[in-house]
Amino acid sequence: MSKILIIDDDHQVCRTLGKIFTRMDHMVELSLTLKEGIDKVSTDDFDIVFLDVKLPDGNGLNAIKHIRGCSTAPEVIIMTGEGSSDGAELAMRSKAWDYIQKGGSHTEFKLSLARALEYREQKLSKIQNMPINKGAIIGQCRQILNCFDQVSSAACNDLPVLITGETGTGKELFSRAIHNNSKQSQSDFVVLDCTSLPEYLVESTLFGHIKGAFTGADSDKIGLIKMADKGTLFLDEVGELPMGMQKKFLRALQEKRFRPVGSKKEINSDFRLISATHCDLTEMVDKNQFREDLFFRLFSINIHLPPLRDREKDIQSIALSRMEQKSDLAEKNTCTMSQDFLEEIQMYEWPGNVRELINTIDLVCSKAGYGSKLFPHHLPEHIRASNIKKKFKTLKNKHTQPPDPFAKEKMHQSKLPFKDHLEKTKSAYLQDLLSGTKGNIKESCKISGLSRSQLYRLMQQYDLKGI
Amino acid sequence: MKLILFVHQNASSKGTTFRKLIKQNFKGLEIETFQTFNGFKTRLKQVSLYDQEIFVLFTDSKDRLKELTSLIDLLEGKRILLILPDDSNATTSVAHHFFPRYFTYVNDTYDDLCAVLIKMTQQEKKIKIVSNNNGGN
Repeated sequence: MSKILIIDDDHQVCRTLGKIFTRMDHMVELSLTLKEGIDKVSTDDFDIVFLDVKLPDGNGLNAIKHIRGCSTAPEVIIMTGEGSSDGAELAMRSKAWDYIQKGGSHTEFKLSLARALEYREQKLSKIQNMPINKGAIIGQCRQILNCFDQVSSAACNDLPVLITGETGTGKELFSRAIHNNSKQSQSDFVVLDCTSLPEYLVESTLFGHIKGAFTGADSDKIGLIKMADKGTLFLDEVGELPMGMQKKFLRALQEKRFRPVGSKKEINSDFRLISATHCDLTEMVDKNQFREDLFFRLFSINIHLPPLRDREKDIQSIALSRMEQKSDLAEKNTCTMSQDFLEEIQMYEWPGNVRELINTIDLVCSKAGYGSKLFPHHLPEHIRASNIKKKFKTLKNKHTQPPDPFAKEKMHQSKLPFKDHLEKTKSAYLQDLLSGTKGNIKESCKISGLSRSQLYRLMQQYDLKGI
Repeated sequence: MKLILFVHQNASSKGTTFRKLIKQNFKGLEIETFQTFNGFKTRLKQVSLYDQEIFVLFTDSKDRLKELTSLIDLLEGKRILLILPDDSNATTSVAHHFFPRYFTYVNDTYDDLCAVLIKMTQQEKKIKIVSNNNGGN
């Protein structure tokens, strides 16, 4: 028996689906508002959430990530009265399971539910079966647990992995975790830092060269690809790999054969590739700064690491672990954290992510003296200044407007291309206008300044019916 | 930005040459040099006030490389450039445990290593400028 939550402001939809799913032997709960639904997901363990898009207190699409981030990471099935390709795309990008139009038959809902449950069962059994050695990675939040699941499945095969995430989120640590849990773990983990090498050095470093291949090539040199034979080659900041080198590298990746610089003979290397970047490679592909064919090859498995600001629950454990580790290495007493200190580090945004947190902990421990209790006063000034600003802002917002739990998702929406954003705004305006006038065309024209024909044309264009 | 240079006091004359070369080529950078394992270990245990440090470790014998591996936990997360005694599989395999950004060999010229160092230090300057422009620290 699975636990299902239906979030929809339409009583009829809730009742009908509730009956169908109960008959299928599932436990069903209903919520008529987004807030109520979110509260339920946060406090109870659901397997599947059926989520409406247009809810009285918000847009369901903006809540998907939040729901998926809850402890049981329920699968989300979006249901909508008016399907749109933008909405469907946003839903899929937010990792919704399915996107269904309400007008369809009940069978469609039943089928989608059955498939989602089958997938979930399989996913959970895999997680239980494959414990992984996490190495130095600390984290218990849902996003990081999801990343561990991906590490676990990546370790089981030889496909290239692309790890993305902001600077300092631990891309190299995760790549090592994949290597250490893979069949390549007995061989070397070979690093190529694409940002450190001057362009002229990349080819000979990767592929090696033979004596006399160029001025200064006094002897044969084995390249990193060969050194990674039967092991893992880690390309750090792969977005910096020179364009001229990408084609040759793609061939080496596909064929597992390549020619060292100056050599006539090809050599083999059975390496597994893990690459990492903080750049948006899709954008680079669009701008012709990165080869599309290589991108698709690298992207076979993508693990996106969340920024530390989205892992508030992990901040304490990372800080504690670092304090213990540091005191062990320094053979000195461990520091402890006051409640105020903990609150301050949980409030800060950590633009440099885990790396910045670790450096800060090292610094404050040293400043306070090993074995001391840490207080906010020990923190660097810029952290305290940023926090105090944030506190004032929050206080101000509290008096002016209710907090918006999906502000981040909305920010992402504002990253749409200008044209798309404009279209969305127009559509939203018209919806508001028509709902405000209860579909009264004359009044709508009066308010908007549009002529009747203009309004009808726009309604047709944006697929709006008089409300 | 700081360079931390480890060249053991008993290293061959190449060690001295290397040290001089780095000092000549990177005059604008602060360079801290260590010549004993104990001194280097003590330094690694200290907290650095520098945002970024690059560690250049010169190992001209297998024993020295082996001894350096005892400090591997303290070197975790650091940006390391290695100079290795030879290019044998055994040696390079040990080198990979340091996750170096680049490595070369004692008998090579150090031109490429210097080019890497120049790129890394320039990169740091760029990051610093961007971070300052964004109001970061």
